[in-house]
Parts: sequence; C-alpha cells; structure tokens
Amino acid sequence: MVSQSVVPFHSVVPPYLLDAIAERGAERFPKAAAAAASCRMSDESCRNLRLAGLRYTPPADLGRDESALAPPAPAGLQRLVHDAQNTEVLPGELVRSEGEEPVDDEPVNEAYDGLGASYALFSEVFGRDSLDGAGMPLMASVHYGKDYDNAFFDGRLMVFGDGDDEVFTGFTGSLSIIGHELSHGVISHTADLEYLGQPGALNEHCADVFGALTQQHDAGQNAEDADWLIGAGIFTPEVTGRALRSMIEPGTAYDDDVLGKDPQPAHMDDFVTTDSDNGGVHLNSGIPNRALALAAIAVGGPAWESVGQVWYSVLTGAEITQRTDFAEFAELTIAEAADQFGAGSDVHDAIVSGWETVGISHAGSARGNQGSSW
Amino acid sequence: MNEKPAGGFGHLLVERSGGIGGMLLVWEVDIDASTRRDELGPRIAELPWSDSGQSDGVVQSDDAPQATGADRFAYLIESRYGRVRFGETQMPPEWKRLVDDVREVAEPQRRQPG
Repeated sequence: MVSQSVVPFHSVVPPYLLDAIAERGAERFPKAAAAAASCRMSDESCRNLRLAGLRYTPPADLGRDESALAPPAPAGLQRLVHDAQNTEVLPGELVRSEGEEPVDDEPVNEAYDGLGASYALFSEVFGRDSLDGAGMPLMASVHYGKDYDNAFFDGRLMVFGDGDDEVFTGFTGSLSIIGHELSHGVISHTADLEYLGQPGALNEHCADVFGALTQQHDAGQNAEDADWLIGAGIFTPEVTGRALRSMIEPGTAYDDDVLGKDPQPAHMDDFVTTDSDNGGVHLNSGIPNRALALAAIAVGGPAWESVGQVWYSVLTGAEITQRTDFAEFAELTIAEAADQFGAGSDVHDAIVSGWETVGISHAGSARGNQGSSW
Repeated sequence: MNEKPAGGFGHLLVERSGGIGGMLLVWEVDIDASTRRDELGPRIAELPWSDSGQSDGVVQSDDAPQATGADRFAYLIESRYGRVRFGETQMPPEWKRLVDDVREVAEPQRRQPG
C-alpha cells in the first residue's frame, strides 16, 4: 500500500525519491507528484510534500504496484503557486494548486491566472502541453526575496519579486512578464538558446514574443491594436515610463530622471557591445523584437495566427541551434514563412521587410532560401 | 592583513546587470574613506580575486559564467585587487556578503550599459 510509508519530513527527501514520486506518482497523487517535482528543483524546502499530504512508497514497492508504475495520463493544466515569504528559499510554501479557489493574496492569484493564460496560448494556439510539451506542472513562486526587483525562470520555476515600491511594483502585475517567464521555460525545453550574446538576445526576444502574444491572445487583440509593451504597469507612478520594453519602438519604454533612458537599440547599427547582462541579452533583443512587431502589424489580425506560428515553428524546429545568431534566425523565419504561408505571401513579405528594416542583412540561406530574393 | 596597504584599499565597485529589465546598477565605495574601512578593507584584500568567478572581464562563450536560468542578475565586482564576474546563483557566500555590505553603505547609481 502506498500509504504505509511516510516521508521523514524532518529531513530532506532524497532526490531519487522525489524523482519516483514526481514521475510515477502522478496518477494517484497528482498534487503530491507535482509538489515532489517542485521540490526537485531545489535542495531547499520540501514542505510542499507535507502540505500536499504526501505518503510515499519506496521505489522497490512501487515496482510491485503496476498502477503506480504506469505512465501518468496527460496532465493538462496543472498550476502550483508557492509563497517564498520574502526569503530566497525556493519554492516556498505551496499556497494555491490547480482548481483551488482564489486566496487572499493578489500576487498569488495573479501568478495563477497568468500561468493559465500563458498555458492557454501554447496549448490552444500551438498545441503544446506545458513547458516540456508533456504536461509538466507549471510552478511559480511569488514574494521572492526582500524588495526584489526582478522576475526570473530558474530552470523549472517561475519566480516573481514584489518590487521595491519605489521604482517597481510587484512583477506578477504584468501578464506579459508572466508569459515571458513561462516562455523561457518553453525555450529551455526546445531551442535552449545559449544565454549569451546574440543567441542570448534571441532567447530574450522569443520570451518577449510569446509574452506579448500571451497578453494579446488573452485579450483577443489584433496586432495593430496591441501596445507591444513588455512589463506595462510594473513601474510605480513616480517613474516616467510605460514599461520595461517596447517591442515596436525599442528605446522608448521609459525616460526617467532616476532610471535614465531605455537603452534598447532598434537597429543593427546601434547594436550594443557590452560585457554586462550576459553580453546585452536584454538590450539587443530590441532589434529582433522590432522586426517581429513590424511584421505582425503589417500582416494585421491576430499575431499568433501569422508571425507567431512562424516563430514557434522555428523555435521548436530542428534547424535552430543553441548558438543561432540574428542573421541565421532571420533566415529561418523567412524560410519557415515561405513553407507555411508561401513565398510572396503577406506573412512572408512582412517578415522579410521587418528584418530589412532593423538592418539584419542577408548572409546566405540556411534552408536554401526557397527562392526568396531576400 | 589588517595593515592599510601602500596606496590604500582604494575603491570597490559592484555592478549589477541583467534581470528581466536589463538595467544596470552600480554601487561604488571609497574604502579608505568608509566608516567600515577597517572591516571591509582587509576582507576585500583577502578575497580570492584570481580564483573566483570569471576574472578576466571578457565575456566569451566557452568560459563565461552562465546564469542558472533566464533573467537572473549578473554581477561584476572590481577593486585594486582584481575583477570578477558571477551569475546571481553562482556567487560564493563570502562574495555575496561583500555585495550585501556594499549595498548597505553605498547608494546605487543607474548607468547606461554599453
């Protein structure tokens, strides 16, 4: 019986047990399995197991129970939101699981809803089941750190700080940011673009693309009606700025006495060479961001049905590598647009024009170029 | 090493870049003028500048400190003793303690990258 053995909660659960629970326990104990998966991401805090009421069976016993060994059924949307309680210990306490009612903590509910909207984009539009395409639980932690001015993806978990209330408010207040972080998870499971230099800027770019599309899809918004902002609303009223970034007008998101001016370039002529920020990954992403936004607006209508399809196919395709650079990525999107929509189609031509506008020059074809003149 | 070295302990600079906003913050302390000189100076002098993080200050694909996950902060720490870079999650405790201390004694300055 699975319930006969009890995890010694006073000590850290060995990783192999968490693996067994997470990978083979989903059918009987979906919450516990998800919590175990959550614990595996960190050496810290396995309190979620206790909160989930977990009882485990050692792997040997699991071997005698056919149902416990059966692969879990497709999971669908499974959200687990944790509260880091203003520490830097992850994941923190599990405070809202899939299907549970809203709690009296707005960042928790914002994260829960944001993960749902992000999941919906990938599931409904691209047919992708979660980060790994196989129903991996979506796990988030809110209230990370003290006055923490950031949100990040740590490899398994989407983490959101509360901000300092001077420059930044809480990072769950922007759906595009939640979508951005979840998209990093998709990227890590697909192209896994190296987080450095141009590939790193493409990593950031793709996270921005699907973050923006999450917001537009959730709002049922056409490309020409969208603001193409990332992080709108997370500045306090004291800051002169609209958002962290503008995809359509890089370099214009803020211009503030304290923050300075948005440093994102919008053209290859202004490409930033720096040792900071892993080679400027959050800066130079402005260049491909503008190319995509221009293309989406030129095509019009829901961007997830046009350029979004092209970008997703490239990101998840076989030809992109961890070190793909801007020019190679541009070529892949143009070739993909020709494949999906036809050479000379509105989508194809808009993408060609978008890349030309930001100064990404044609350096030969990665896929034969399909007869394109670009 | 409690003696003030010839020429003093000099300045200590901590630069934080990255994060989802990609913003650059710098904390700079004149150690010799700091009220915590006697505490910070010797600690800085004794840190393993040449054996920690990435010490040459040049970001190269094969040896750069890779962030654990996306949108984490990246740190550059510089003094007369050397220059090191760390990803947010890769900073040893003695360096993290130094960064925390510097953030206590210095006001952050926002700078334009590049």
